Amino acid sequence: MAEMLTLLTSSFHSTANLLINFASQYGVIFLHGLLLTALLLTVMLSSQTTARWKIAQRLLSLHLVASLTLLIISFWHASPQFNNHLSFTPLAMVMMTLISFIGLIVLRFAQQNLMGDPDHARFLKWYLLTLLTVSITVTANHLALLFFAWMSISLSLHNLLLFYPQRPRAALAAHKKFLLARLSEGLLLSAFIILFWQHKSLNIDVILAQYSNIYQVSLADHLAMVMLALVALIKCAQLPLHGWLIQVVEAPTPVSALLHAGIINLGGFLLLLFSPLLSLSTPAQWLLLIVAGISCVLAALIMVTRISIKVRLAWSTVTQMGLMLVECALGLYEIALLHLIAHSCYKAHAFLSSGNAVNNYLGQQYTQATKPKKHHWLAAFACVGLAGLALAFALPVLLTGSVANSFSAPALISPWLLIAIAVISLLAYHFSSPHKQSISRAFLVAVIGIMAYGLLGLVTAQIIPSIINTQTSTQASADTWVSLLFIGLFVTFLWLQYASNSKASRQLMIALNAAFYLDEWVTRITLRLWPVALPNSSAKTIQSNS
Amino acid sequence: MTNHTTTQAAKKAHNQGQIQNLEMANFPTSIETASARIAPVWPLDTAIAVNPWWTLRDQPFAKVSAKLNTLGNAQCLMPKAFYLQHWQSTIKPEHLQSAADQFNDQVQPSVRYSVEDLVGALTKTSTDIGSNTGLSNWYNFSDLLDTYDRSKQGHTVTWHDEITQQISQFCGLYFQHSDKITLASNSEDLLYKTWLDIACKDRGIEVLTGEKGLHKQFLNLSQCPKQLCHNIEALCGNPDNFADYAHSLLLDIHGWASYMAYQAWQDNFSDTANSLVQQLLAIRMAWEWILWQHNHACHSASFKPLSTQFLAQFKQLSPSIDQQQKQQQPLWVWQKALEISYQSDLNQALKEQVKQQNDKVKTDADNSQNAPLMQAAFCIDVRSEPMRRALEDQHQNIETLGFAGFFGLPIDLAFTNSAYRRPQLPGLLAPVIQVEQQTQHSNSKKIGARLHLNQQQKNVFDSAPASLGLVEMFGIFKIGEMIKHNFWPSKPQHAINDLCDDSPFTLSQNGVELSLSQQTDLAHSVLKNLGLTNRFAQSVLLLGHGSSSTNNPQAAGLDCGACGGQTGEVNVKVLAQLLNDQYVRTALSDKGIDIPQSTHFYPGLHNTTTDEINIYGKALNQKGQHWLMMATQLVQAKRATAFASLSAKQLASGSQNKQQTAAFYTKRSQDWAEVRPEWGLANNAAFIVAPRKITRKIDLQGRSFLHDYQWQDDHDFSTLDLIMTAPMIVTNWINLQYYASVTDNTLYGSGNKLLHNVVGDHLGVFEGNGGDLRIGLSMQSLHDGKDWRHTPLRLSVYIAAPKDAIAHIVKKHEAVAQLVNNDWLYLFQIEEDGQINQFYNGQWLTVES
Repeated sequence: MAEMLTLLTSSFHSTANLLINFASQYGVIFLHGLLLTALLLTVMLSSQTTARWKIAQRLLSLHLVASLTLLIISFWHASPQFNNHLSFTPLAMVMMTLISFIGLIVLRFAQQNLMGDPDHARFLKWYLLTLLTVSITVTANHLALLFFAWMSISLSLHNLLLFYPQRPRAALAAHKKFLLARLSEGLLLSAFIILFWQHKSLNIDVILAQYSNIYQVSLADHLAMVMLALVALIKCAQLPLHGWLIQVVEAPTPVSALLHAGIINLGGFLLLLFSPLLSLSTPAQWLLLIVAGISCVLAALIMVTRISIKVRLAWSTVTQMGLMLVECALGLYEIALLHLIAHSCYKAHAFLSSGNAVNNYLGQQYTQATKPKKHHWLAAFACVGLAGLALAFALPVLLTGSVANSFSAPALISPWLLIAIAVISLLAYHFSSPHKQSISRAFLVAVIGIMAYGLLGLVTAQIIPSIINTQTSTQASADTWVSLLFIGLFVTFLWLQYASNSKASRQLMIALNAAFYLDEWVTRITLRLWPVALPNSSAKTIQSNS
Repeated sequence: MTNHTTTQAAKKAHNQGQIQNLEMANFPTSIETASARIAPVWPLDTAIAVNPWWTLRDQPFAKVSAKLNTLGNAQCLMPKAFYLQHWQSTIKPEHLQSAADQFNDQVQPSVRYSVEDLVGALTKTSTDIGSNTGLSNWYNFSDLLDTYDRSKQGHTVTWHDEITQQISQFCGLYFQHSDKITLASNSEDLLYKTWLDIACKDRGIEVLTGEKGLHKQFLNLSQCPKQLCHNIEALCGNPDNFADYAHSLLLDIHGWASYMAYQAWQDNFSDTANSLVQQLLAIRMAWEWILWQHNHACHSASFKPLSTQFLAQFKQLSPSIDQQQKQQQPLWVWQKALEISYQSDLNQALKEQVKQQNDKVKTDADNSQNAPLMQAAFCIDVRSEPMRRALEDQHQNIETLGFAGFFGLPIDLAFTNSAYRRPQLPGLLAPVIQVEQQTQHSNSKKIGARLHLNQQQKNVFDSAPASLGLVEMFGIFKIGEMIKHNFWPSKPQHAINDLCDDSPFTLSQNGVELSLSQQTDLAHSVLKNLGLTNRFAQSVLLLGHGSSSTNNPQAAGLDCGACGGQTGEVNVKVLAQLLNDQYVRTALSDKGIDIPQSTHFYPGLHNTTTDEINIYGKALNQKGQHWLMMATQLVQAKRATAFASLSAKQLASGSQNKQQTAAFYTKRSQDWAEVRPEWGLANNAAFIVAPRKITRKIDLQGRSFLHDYQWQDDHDFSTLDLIMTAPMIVTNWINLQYYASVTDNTLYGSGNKLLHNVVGDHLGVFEGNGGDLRIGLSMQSLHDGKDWRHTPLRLSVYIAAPKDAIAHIVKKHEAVAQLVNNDWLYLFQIEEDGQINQFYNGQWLTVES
């Protein structure tokens, strides 16, 4: 009996090992195969409306389950696959799982949303192709593959952004996006050529391995990283090249959800992927710190002046992506990854449920919730200050050994400042509520939030390979710069809220409302460089009936 | 007009522009006229259907159509292909013949149409009929610039779109952030002045368009909108039809103009002056002025011919409109033929039923004395009709009644802990009585508390600096919410409706609780108008209606229009409370209405999305519940065909599929991605004011509003007067909202729901990222992707009452007379013997069938 059991366990073990080996050998290929099958079946089943969507849904569900499984396996058995062209790392797999999840949720939404739209088949086709290209991108371990997948994303997405090609503003936005995408691809290609020329390899893991134990990089490496940083800035729609992102809310809601949750953050992914190089390139870091930092602050303020829900969400994305890039530049890769994932979920949900705005408005009308008063803010500041002091003493004791090493956040001020601002606001708003439960609720929510943040930070820290050769001297000044930005944002925001009848704040509101004409200049230059014939929708020249 | 006079006029106007600070007391009459032509549109949270041509009812529909088409390319008719598609299938030769005869007799004796002419008119591709070629539309100055040489202007987005965008964004900002951007002054022209101030600081347009010097023109604008309008009128040479030009400009920014007309409509209840529409028009005019001056200064070569062309239009406009009207004439005959095709079947059915009823009365005189087993009062809404028939099918002694869904209660819903108020009555009226639940159940209190907590959380998430950290901390939790929405959707939530429970309401007027006699008067008038004064059943159901959908910004549009775009829940609960009250009943019996002790009034809600009926408070008896359930199943099965093209599985009506069918509707109401939860009032076509027994046996296919009315009980015809001035107008508003949203979804509809983008939390929607505010119904509410779900037909009103009474009421009320005589609706009378007559232009015409 006992022998039987050992036999059984050993055979189970060997089967499991076999499976795990198999998964780490062919897992990524299998995932791509699933998406490709879905795409091909969709194209082939051109006559069967519902079957098509159903198949796509089933295969994507399977894709999600498989991604999750592979994500877990990847923590122990990370390995390059398919002649070293694909990477099977926790980072690739967590991105894959995220895309798979968002992909499935948005697909199910789109199926119902687009039912009855004569062009829904076209949507499904481009949607699946976009998902496939994104998932190839995040698993590519080969420069050429990464480049082509990266390029295909925007080419494929272009068809979704122009899902209604007759809309002039959609066309203008897509045109701008099209040109910017080509520009960023040019930069990406140049960066890759430099990297290849420098390291004589096309495999990303091989290239990156060469940075692991050096403290200085060549000028060419700096140049390549600056280009990659520019690519990331463009992909993440940072100022002044943000206009297209705001204007593509001309596309159906599911497209916006996919774009904001699954594609725009690839800029962050690119930096995470090349983090060993980024950590060594001060110019690239400062490029990100300045452009993304300013974008983050300005977009957050501009968002306040926006009048429609989807446009507000788009500006919020610019802000959030700015923060993510800044976190990368600060070397806080695990927090950047955490931000990437959290923002994806937050933004997908926000877009998909944007129709609920009126119901939210009714809630607002009923509660008549007002802004917190001065004493609410003071109380919130006091609470957070005390908690901060307590933590500062307790943390070194609590976090010892490996945990402290893997969680690099305590070293910097700015991430804590960000959380402090969030918690202060959370408390102040809840303190101001007339409802008696709200104070206890505020503390509960704050504690849950901080715990979730800490736990997730620990998880993402396992995903990101730790980088030890970071230059701490630049980190300190960068940290100061970012802290100043956050404080500036907080103070300006409060000033706009509370001194709204002062002349100066009104001036600022108007300037923010105009968004400093950045996009107007970009549009004008774009159209001058490469004019486009827009579909004409002028009420006077077109028959509205069809 | 020659070049010489043009430049002279321009120069003169330019000089007038110099005297800027002259504050004029009034807008020119033409501006007031044009502003008064815009119908109001309600914001999303209280959305009700509005006839977009309500303010133009003083002119014949065909004239309005021609004018709107010339001024703003508005479509008041379907395209030729539509009528052609219905030819022979729906529109039979006799219908077309009949329409042609009526046209030949009534409208224009000089032109006579034969059936062949009319069919030819549709099939001919030539220029002479119903098409736009060869006709000159009105062009605003900015439109002329667009048509000129666009490449020379150096920008690709048209002026038309650019101006609309700029004004629209400003309006949003003005209403959304008024505390942060309006000037700190109490000026009556605050909208205009704030716009001017912001425009003067905005260099964006000049940057975008590359028009150097354009910004300078803003600085030269008059501070006074009235002055500006006077200047422009003078610049155009004070033409008689300047108001039409102004109207054309308003059509460019029609959505916001309609929203501002709503603000003016509300202020009108309290006699407060409101000139928002006029100021908006001044803003749009300012743009014309700026482009005029700018082109005058910077593009003088192109300016000369353009300005001449522009000014010459004033003389051509009137002939153009006449020409357009002539061109549209055959299509109006087709439209009428389509309407006749619907009416002729209904006429026939009504005639037969009246005859049958007359026979029945002779043979079975005391049938009506039987007390009914159950009575159910529904809203007149077209969606009530199938439900009423299904319920009546359960037993011959079940009676149903039709009445406006607010049940005549002019109430405003209030809450103890909140300043929020919600009118629960038609938009034509202002609320008088406030109702409030003072002691709420613990569950409702809990919901209220949650609302408070969630609101603070939402507000802090909306605050920019906090959102950065909060997304990092809480973003991940949205995974759970998305999974829940996607895989396990729950009951649709509504912030306010979920707060109402079964606890009693307190009724008050101006802060004083209603006395017993006031309550009795209220109950008495409702019962009288309902025609429910004797023969009470043991169970009397008072059924309001409401829809249920999730994540739907236009949800209110599916609710009860008579209740101000809300569900009828509050109204039926309040009415049932009044009628079940012992003291009120005693007082009522003194006034001659005896409600038996055994009678109980049950408030309930007909969910039009799922067709379930929910009874509040005391439970209905077993039998009654069974009837309601059976009726629900019957209607659900019947409605399934309407979703055939959209549902994955064919919903069969077999018994094993009943659960599946019910689940199908439940899912529609809960799915956060659903853009067609139900078809609302689509395909409405008639309003029948008659005793139910006439229509009980007719399948009206959910196309008819039904109002119960027994003229013999209405001695002074005051009830009829009420019906013709309130419900009839409400049905006209609904009918023409659907009509207009189909014929011109760009101007009167809100386009594609997939692109909807809520503006200012509740003001309205944009389609995509900007453009004008969109009003009316979305395409998804009207079209299933293959076919229209609504056939645009003008409302056919049928009233079973004496001719004199109807004619008298029409004569008495100008608005009603205008609707009838200017072809906005058909008014028919059902005679005692079943003969149908039409009242038109003060004449009674016999309708042949």
